[in-house]
Parts: sequence; C-alpha cells; structure tokens
Amino acid sequence: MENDELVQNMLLELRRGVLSIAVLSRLSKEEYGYSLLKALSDQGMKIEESTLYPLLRRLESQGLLQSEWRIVDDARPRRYYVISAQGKAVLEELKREWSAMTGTMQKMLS
Amino acid sequence: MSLIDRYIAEVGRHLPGKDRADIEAEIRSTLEDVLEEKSGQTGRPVDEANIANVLQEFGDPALLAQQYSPSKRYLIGPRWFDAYVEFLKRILYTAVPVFMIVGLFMALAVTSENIIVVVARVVAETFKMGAIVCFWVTLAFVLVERSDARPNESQNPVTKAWKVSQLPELPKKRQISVGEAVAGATLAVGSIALVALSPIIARVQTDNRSVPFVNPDLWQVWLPIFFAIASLTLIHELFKFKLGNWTPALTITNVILGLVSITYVTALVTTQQVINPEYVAALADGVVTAELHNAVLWTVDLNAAIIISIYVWSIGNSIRMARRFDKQSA
Repeated sequence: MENDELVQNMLLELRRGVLSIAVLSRLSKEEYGYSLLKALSDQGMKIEESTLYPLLRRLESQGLLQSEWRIVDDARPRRYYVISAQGKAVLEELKREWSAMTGTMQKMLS
Repeated sequence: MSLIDRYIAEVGRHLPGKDRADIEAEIRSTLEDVLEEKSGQTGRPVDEANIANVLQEFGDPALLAQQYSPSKRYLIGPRWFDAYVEFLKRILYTAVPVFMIVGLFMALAVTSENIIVVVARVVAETFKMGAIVCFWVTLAFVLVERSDARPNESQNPVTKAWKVSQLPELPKKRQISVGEAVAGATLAVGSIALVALSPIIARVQTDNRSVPFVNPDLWQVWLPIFFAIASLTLIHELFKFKLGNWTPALTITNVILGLVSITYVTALVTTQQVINPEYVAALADGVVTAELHNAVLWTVDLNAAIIISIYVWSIGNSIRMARRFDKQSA
C-alpha cells in the first residue's frame, strides 16, 4: 500500500519531464488538444487530459509552442498547437540528452 | 449541456483571471471533442450519462485548475518563512515575559481586587497582546513576500553563477543568545521606567487626596540605589549582547551584580516598608483590612523571592558557561 503510493509519486515525477519531450516530438505538425492526446495514446503514451492541457499551455508560455484558435473543415473552432523554432532547437538538445541518459540507465539497470 | 457549463464554471472559479476565458474555451472545446468521439463510436447522441462519465475522467475541477497555475501560491513563501518564524519567536520570547511581569506589577499596584482575578486578567491581556503581535508580524511578512519580485522556485539553478568564495564565514558560537540579551535589557529598562513612573501611574485616590503606591520614604536612599543597580544591569546586558560569550570579565560582573541585587532585594523587603502604608489603608477603606494587607505584603515577598531565585540561577549559569567557554577557547 505504502509502496504503491511511493511508486506512484516517483512515476509522476519521472513522467513529468518525459511528457514534455513526447509532446514536443509530436508537434512538428499542428494538432489540437484531443487529436494530440489520441496520437500520443496510439503510440502507447497514456496521458490524462488534466495533465496534457496545462502542459501545452506551459510549453507555449515558455515559447516552445505556438497556438491559435482556428476552424478547420467545417468543425468547431479549436486551439491548434505547433512547435516553434525555439522549440525545435530545444527538442534537438533534449533528444541528445535523452539517448545519452537512456544508454546510461540501460547499462546501470541491466 | 448544463453539466458541462457547471463543470467549466467550477474550473474557472479556481483559475487566475487573465487566462480564465481562454482556458475555459479550450476545456469546453476538448470536452466536445471527447463527447463527439464517444457518440461516434456508439452511434447514439450524447446524453447526460456520457457527459457525467467524461467529466468524471477529467476529474476534480479544482485539481484541473491547479494544473494550470503550477506555481504554488503562498501567503509567506519559502524564502521568507524561516525569517518569519525566527522573528516571531524572538519577539514573543522577549515581549511575552516582559509584558506579563510589568503588567502584573502594574495591575497589582493599582487594583484592590483578588490576586487570582488580577493574574487571570494579566494572562488574558498577554494572550491578546501576543495575538496582535502575531497578526502584525504576519502582515508585515506577507507584504514583504508580495513586494519581493524574485521567483519562489529558482527556475534555472544550474546557470546561476555562484562561487565558493560567496560562502559566509561560520558565525562565532554564541553562548548568550541575542534574544536573552535583548530580554534582559528590556527588563532593565522596563523596571527603571516602572519605578520612576510609579508616583504618577501607581496611585490610589481617596476622599480628599491621592496616595502613591511606593512608600515615599524610599526615595531618599533606597530607590536611588535601585536606579544605580538597574542602570549597571542595563550596561551589563548590553555587554552580554555585544560579547555573546561568558568571558571572565563578564562572568565576574554578573556574579557581583547578582550578589549586590540579592543583598539589595533582601534588605529592602526585610527592613523597609515597600508599599506605602497609607496606600494600603486607602485601598482597604471599607474592605476587609487585614486580609488585603496580608495579600499585598505576600505579593511583595513573592516577587522578591522570584527575583532572588532568578539571580541565583543567573550566577550559577554564568559560572557554568564560563567554564565551558574556557575549555572551548583553550
């Protein structure tokens, strides 16, 4: 019981950084919130609505994403997000770090 | 749709004002996307039960809103919290005992009420004073927190330039805390003021004239001596504050001052009438005389006993600390 809670908390912390990278990597072409959520979950990255939307907004306020309300086809207006030039640069760096880190962790844990 | 409206209104209630409308619109559009998808899967129009399910998945509106403003909102943030607690402690440790003792003296001097009633009232007043102090200190720190523009969580600690040379020197270990010295000095000033002002503040009005609480005969010799001792004590406390340690000179002064004070208090209460006999008589006018008279005398003796035991403790403590200081510096 107690361990469960600990694990949940640690996973939450672990996922927090990872999700940013995942979101940035999925936004080279623009998506609205729900389509992004599905795209991520199709790739196996389950994420809750209440986590994703605030995250998008935070990344936008940091200048890594751009967004605008738009009507595509005949649908309702939706907010579309796409990665910014700064976001691309940051993502490149994060990717490098990520592979270095996963390599290290792989060695450590095997 | 009213369930959705209620949900969004509840989220909005917890959101910061400037982004509220935008975030609300986004949540609404997302909820509609999800519902559309659900009804597309089942081939049936959206009903209340679908909406309830989806909202349940979105979770507690307050938590959702909190995700949007991740920086914690503090009354007093981590940068100021330690200073706040330290300051509050120090001021309460100094003010509460001084207020209590001075209040007790003054209350006993001017009323003819039962001593227990007086003590209870002084304790109640002290609590009131403590609450007021806490309120103003807290308010001051809240204002400081608000006016401090630095972010609460340092956003990029890695890039912050910091050099080892910035480390502050270790503070010299103080045996005498600042609070202790401040309390002592406050007590000395307070007792000088109290005795000096007693002819004005501690009086009782009888039919045709007003009578001071302190025996006027004492003003010729005894009270001047008191002022001398109290002034020396004040100077001694200031040195305690400055030096911070029981150095040999400070310890010797402390022992001498303590012995002089004990001798003085003992001589005063055994040989002199501290309280003006006329005052007691005037107070007792129409009240049970003997009982009141005894109560007043008993109060004087009790105070003398407390003062003497404090001095005995102080002498012992300073000698003990001086030994320790000696070892430390050796």
